[in-house]
Amino acid sequence: MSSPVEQITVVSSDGDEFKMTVAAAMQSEQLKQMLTDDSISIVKVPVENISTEILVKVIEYCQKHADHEAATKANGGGASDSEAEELNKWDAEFMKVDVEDKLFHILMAANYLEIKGLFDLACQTVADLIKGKTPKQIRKIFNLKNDFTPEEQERLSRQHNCSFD
Amino acid sequence: MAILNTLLFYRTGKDITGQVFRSHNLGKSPSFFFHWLLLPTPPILHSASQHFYSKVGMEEIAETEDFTWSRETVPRVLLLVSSRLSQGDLFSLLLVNPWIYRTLVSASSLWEVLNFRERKNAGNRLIAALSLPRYRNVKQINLEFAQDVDDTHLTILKTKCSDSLKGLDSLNLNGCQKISDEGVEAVTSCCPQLKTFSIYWNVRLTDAGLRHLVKNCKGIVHLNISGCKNISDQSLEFIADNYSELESLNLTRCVKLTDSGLKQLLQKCLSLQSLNLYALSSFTDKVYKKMSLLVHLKLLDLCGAQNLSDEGLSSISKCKNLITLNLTWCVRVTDEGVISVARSCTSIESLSLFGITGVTDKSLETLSKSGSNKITTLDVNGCIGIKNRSREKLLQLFPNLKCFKVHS
Repeated sequence: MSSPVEQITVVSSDGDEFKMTVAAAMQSEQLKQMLTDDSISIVKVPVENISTEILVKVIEYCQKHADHEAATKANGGGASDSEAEELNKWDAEFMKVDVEDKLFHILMAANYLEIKGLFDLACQTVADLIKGKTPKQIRKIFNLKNDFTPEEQERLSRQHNCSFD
Repeated sequence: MAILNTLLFYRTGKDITGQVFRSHNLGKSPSFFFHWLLLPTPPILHSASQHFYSKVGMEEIAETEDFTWSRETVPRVLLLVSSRLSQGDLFSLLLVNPWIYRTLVSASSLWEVLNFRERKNAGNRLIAALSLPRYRNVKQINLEFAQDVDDTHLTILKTKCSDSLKGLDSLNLNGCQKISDEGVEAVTSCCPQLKTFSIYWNVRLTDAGLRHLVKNCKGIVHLNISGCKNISDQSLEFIADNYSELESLNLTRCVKLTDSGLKQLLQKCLSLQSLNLYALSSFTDKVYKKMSLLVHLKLLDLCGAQNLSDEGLSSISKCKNLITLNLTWCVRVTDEGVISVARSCTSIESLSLFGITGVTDKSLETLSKSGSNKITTLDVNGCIGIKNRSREKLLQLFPNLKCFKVHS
């Protein structure tokens, strides 16, 4: 076994390098697999699909959650209610990001790196934005145009009403 | 550089949306440019593409970003999120733009359930829905207490929608009182893979309907014909002869059933885990003694089994895996029967002795000794033979007790 690695370097698609503690990296199943595979000696991990802006956010999430896990272990296993609530609050704040610039890209990055907590969090955030909204409202939230022709729109609405209204 | 990164984002490396995206087809794309985005780029094209980008002006860049956002990014992300959304929200998404529409309708796992519970005009709505391509792989249909569903609708399904129904796994016709044997024949002929069939409270259903069911659907595992009063022993024979893998069966209030029919069932449906004989008072010990054949039985409802004696109950107690046992109004039972259950059914969690006057504190003590931690539900209302059945006493005997009432 080689000497224990304490930090790894990840490289964004922009070419910027960032150090991550192993604990933080283990939040990602992808990185975890690389780290636990002795046959791979890691120097730098390129994450081609993730820009610097997004990678910074992702690393922030991983570090926070790794720290929380370590603190919980140190306290003997169970997170107290207030600690769990504090983490939830942090998560909620963390997710207050611009939809177009960040939210969707964070979601895709979490999917790619297999960071379950962040992926679930981002998906839920998006789902909450959609819940109970009309198509028009959804277009506004996600900055989309209505690319349907009037005929297509009419046909689809009718189809829907026939079955489900 | 932002535009270059955004485009590279989708072109290089592993597919970013993971398995979900890999498994579906975005369909025909309107332009070469769009196609190019989705394929891994051979080296020669790479340098050509860089040349292409350097020629693109600011307006074109903004347009391309828009293009990518609305036609690529948003649909892909919404697909990842879609499993967390209600059907209502999914419909709203379908109407947002054609790219989302296309992406979502191709994901067949989103369109596996059709729920028309309590809806009006449900027969016509179901036919309309099943004519939509996205429901061609429907797995579950729920028409519980739906209105305006009758045999003619089910016959139309057979002529027009049988393709969409062939993968159907679960059909709920509870409370659809206008349906008769004919309708059952029509709909079940379209779904040979059906595993769960439920049609409670339908007095038009007869043994003929059950005959159609066993002929058309060979793999039924969960069957609910509660309240279908016109079912006789003949149906139990059909079930016994055809459903050896049956796991749950609800025969509540099928009052025409007798020992003879039930015996056949007990001898052949050996995989049964749940058997509901609520309000069936004609059975006798002769058949109750055969209950021990059902070694996998976990739930047994014998509410109203007025002929059940301690001897019969003793046989039943040989079903060691019982978790839930309802003996409400089993008025012939005494301590002897309950104690045999206590000693043998050590996994019991829910027990009702409602209305059994022949049971005393002795039964409770024995139960407490053998399985006190597991019991979470115990109904001893009306058990006047038990002197101390206060809440405090019960909690003392059964520390995990949460529910004190089974029978209402």
